[in-house]
Amino acid sequence: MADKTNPRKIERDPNWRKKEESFAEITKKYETVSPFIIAQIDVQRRGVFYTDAALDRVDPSIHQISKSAFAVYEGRGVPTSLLLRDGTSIIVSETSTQTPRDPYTVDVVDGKLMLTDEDRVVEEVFFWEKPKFFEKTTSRGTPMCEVLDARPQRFSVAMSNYCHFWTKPGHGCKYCGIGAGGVKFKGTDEERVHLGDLRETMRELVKEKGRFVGVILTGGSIISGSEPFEDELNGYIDALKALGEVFETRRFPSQVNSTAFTRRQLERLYNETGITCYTTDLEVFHEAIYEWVCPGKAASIPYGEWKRRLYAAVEIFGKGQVNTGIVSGVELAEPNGFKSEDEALRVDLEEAEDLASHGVGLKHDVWHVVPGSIFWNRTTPSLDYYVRLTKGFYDIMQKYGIPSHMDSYRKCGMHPNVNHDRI
Amino acid sequence: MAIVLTKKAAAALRSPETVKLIATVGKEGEPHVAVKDTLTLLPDGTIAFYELIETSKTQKNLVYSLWFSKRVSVLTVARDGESHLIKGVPYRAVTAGGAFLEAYEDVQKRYGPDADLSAIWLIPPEWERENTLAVRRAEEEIAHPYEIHMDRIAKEALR
Ligand code: SF4
Repeated sequence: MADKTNPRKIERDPNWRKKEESFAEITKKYETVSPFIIAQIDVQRRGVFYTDAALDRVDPSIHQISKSAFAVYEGRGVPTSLLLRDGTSIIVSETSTQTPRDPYTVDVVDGKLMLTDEDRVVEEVFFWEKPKFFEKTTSRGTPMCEVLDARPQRFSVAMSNYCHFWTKPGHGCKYCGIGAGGVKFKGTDEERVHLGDLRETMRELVKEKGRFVGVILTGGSIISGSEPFEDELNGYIDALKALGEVFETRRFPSQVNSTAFTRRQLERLYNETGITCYTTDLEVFHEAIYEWVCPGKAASIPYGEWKRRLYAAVEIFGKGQVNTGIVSGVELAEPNGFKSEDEALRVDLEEAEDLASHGVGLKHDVWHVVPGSIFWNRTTPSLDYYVRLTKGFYDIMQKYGIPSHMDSYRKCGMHPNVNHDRI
Repeated sequence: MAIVLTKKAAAALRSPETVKLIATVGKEGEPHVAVKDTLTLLPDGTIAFYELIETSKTQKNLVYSLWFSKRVSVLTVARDGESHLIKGVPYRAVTAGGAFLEAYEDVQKRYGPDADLSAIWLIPPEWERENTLAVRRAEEEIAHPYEIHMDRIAKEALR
């Protein structure tokens, strides 16, 4: 019988559990790291599978449903993601996370929705609830759920569905599924966000009391313009102005996650809009591996220059209002990544310390191997590696006194080291 | 293991007249205490309260207690001195969803439009005792009759 938990028929290593420490062992080993954060990491690393009983709990009139689903769930709503008891989001998509390890299972146990592994209960979980504006449509006929996306406490604007790095063969980031899948939007109406749709959706969104604490704007890189990335910058400025129309205050909790802009571009972004925070992700904390994993980025903005632009951003936005992230795990990808987890961790933390000493905040996204990416079929590191990295980033941020609110469990939820900064 | 509170403790938690405090400990091990007017008892027997300030010490310590299974203490004090002490481990911080949105509207009605809500904390009670001084003194006299200053039992004529 076909394994329903493995719809993509990924080759699984039947002995993978014998080769690495388990969730239970890691939570005992790292007594000062929250078991909730360790659960978040491991589920993001291994993915989830929903049993029929769990899917029976999905109420499409209340819960947020994934927009694309595998055939295995055909005709049934698949939850977008999960929340833990402490409010931590597990940003895990059943539809895009498939690894050579077995996924966690979400099942109903004693009447409660539970995260389980090998029939052992790990934690109670909750489905995300969707915002009301998801049911509405703009005057152009665009469903508002396609204009803005939502997590439990924040919403997001997908600025551009097509990343220019994919125009040149081999220049897309190797772990990226957005870019590879975005080519179909090139030159279409859907390539960029529509400002009219954005304005109308915002007018509905702000009616929802207690629903949102922040917004993030992000999208593929746009190289074009009067100087490199000027069109991308202008897109963010226009969108932020449109968002700002619904607020009484000049500034509102908002973050742009873009290509690294120059000082002049950053000043424009800060001075012409109501933005509060800025992120630009280095993706890999090692120059040669960055050039291999992110060739398009490296060709446009060399590693050292990317860092200098981050430092300029701290001067403009302030300490605690700027951070940078890595897709943690790609630094170990074969064949050009680090050969050992210890070596990768040493380099990651040295570079993290250098960035933090300049006031730049740190975050990492647990790499889940995305279907359609060049790195498809690679394996992610051990849970032990991720916990050491999480603790390392957290400790360095504490050492340099860098607040993490801009990307907290409320305003993002994706980053384990930031989610840990609540105690 | 969750317990069912006595009727007196339950009534004290639900009464708008009692002062209610929560004491917590965080990662530094320092005790912290705060008055929380919104502390109450839900129909299912769980203690609940609204945390209105996202980065408050109580909020941080409650997250710590939830993460690492540490108990917190809730104390009620009435005008006449009746007092109840209850302990439990926080089970959940409700930060989103329908119940949170209803609570948010409730907070704004009660405290005005400048009030915010960070979480509804749910704490199943695990332990309780009445802390009213007269009750505690009576218990102490039975449990430890000789833990007293001796002048209290001296002959009246010699005091
Ligand atoms: S910059 Fe890299 S990660 Fe971002 S969309 Fe383009 S290819 Fe993907």
